[in-house]
Amino acid sequence: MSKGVGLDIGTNMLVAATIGEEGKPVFKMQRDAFYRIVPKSEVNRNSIKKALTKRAFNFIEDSDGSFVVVGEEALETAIERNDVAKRPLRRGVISPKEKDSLPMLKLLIENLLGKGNGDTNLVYSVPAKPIDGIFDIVYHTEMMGGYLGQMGYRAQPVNEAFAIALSELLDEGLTGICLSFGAGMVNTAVIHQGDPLVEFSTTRAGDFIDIAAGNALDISPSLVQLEKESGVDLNNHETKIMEAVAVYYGSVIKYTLENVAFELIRRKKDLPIFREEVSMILSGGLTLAKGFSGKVRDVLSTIELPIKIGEIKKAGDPMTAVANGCLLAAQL
Amino acid sequence: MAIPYKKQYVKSDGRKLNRSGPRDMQARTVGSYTPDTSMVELLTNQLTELRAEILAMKSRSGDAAPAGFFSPEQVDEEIRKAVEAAVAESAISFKGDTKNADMAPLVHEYKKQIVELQRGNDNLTKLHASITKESGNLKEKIAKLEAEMVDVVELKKQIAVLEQELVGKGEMVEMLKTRPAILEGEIFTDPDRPQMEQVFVDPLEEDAGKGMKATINIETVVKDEEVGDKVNKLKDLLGKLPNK
Repeated sequence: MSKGVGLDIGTNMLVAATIGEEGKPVFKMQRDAFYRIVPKSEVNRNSIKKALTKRAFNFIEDSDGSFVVVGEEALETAIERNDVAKRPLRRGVISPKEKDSLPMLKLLIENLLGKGNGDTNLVYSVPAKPIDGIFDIVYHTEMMGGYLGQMGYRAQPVNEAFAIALSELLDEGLTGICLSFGAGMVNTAVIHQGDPLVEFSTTRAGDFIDIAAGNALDISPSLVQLEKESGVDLNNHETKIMEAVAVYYGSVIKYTLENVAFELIRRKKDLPIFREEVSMILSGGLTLAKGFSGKVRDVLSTIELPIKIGEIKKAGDPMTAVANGCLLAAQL
Repeated sequence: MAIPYKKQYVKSDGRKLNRSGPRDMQARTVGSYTPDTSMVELLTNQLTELRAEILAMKSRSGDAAPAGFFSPEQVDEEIRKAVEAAVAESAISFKGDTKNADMAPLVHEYKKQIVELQRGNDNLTKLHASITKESGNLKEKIAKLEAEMVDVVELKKQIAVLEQELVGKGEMVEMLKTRPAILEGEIFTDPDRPQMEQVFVDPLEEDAGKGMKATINIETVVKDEEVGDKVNKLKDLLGKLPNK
């Protein structure tokens, strides 16, 4: 077996997948958020470095003397300073407008994967073209391919939702509907016997929930994100933040599924006749919330799809399913 | 013995009994009777003649009864016959009653069957009514379908005309496809026509990020799964990644 590598490049999380010594998958995760601290003096610089080292934060020392706190700690630092952490990706893609973030992104990926030998297959996830926004998926795909090539990999892109199918729909003969509820967007793919028939994305996802709940309660979206990631129960909200988060979760689920129905009906003539019910796979960080599948089931019962949905199930591990699919694809 | 009763007796209700008793009435009848001797004599003579005739007949035929009369033996015979006939008739009636008793369950059963048959008959009547109604509906539908069939035939004719008009249009469509056409904001051109190469310029400087020094520790998670099995399954299903 070849030793290809899988890489999920998400708005919120980078996940690398490799094959370990015993043929078992090995995953490495890194939140792709960062927060830059610019020291006011050399003394200040030294004290900041000591503080970051003491707190065991992951950080980057930039050539201009500033520090870039990365990952989970970037969010904490931003909240401490009543600020917002930055992200190299926005709505799932890199943008020339965020070019200051790109070196950090490259460094984070390099830290996850290490250098390739120029002959290593790497399959990386890319989002599908959005149906409710205008941004350049091709630019993102090509730029990421270029960066990964510079790192010594033979990089090939694969649609994010299709990667979930490769990981989770093997027993169903690669037939079903996969939904990846990420931070920047929700990716959808309808797959029939391994053929991705319909692929598209919508831009109301995890970040939308953070911003909407933050605006509603006049608090930092980063704080909402941390609260959200500490565990959400969509049927039982203990705090006002959780209540707001649950409300916007409902909005995102409804918006996504109504758009899925709209797109499938619009593209009905391109779809084969699915004689039997198909499985729906839910993946991505948002699906970790308790009661998520139930909410999806509730909304689906109110809308009509041209495809009969059978089982609605979460991916085995919603955080690593895309990377796992990319890893399997890299072995082909 | 004569019964004495008082004449001119006044009863308790005030009536006076005066010459109205039975003997008074008898006396009045006898007193007014005047016998017709010639008639009596005539009848007496006739009786005498008849008696003599009967006696003469008896002497001619022994004990035989005169014409128009039954002898005692005949009367006896006739009575016996009549009694026997009556006995026979009553016997038949009795037998009939006995048979009726034996046949009671059968009769009961027949009666039940008759009721069932009557019910069946009722059902058949209802069925007949519903079938008649249904038949009416079907006739209406058939009439409608026949009318629609006429429309279908007309539409087929129109389709045939349209198909005739479409002949040769395919080539025209193919020819038009080679021209640029605007569809959903994107321009599609003939794939054979030379196209602008997509060039992506890296916005970063060549040495961007080179001075960066990372202090990053990333935890690894090993899952207890066999990648090989899944890869083999995927190869069977997919072979290679689709070019999309």
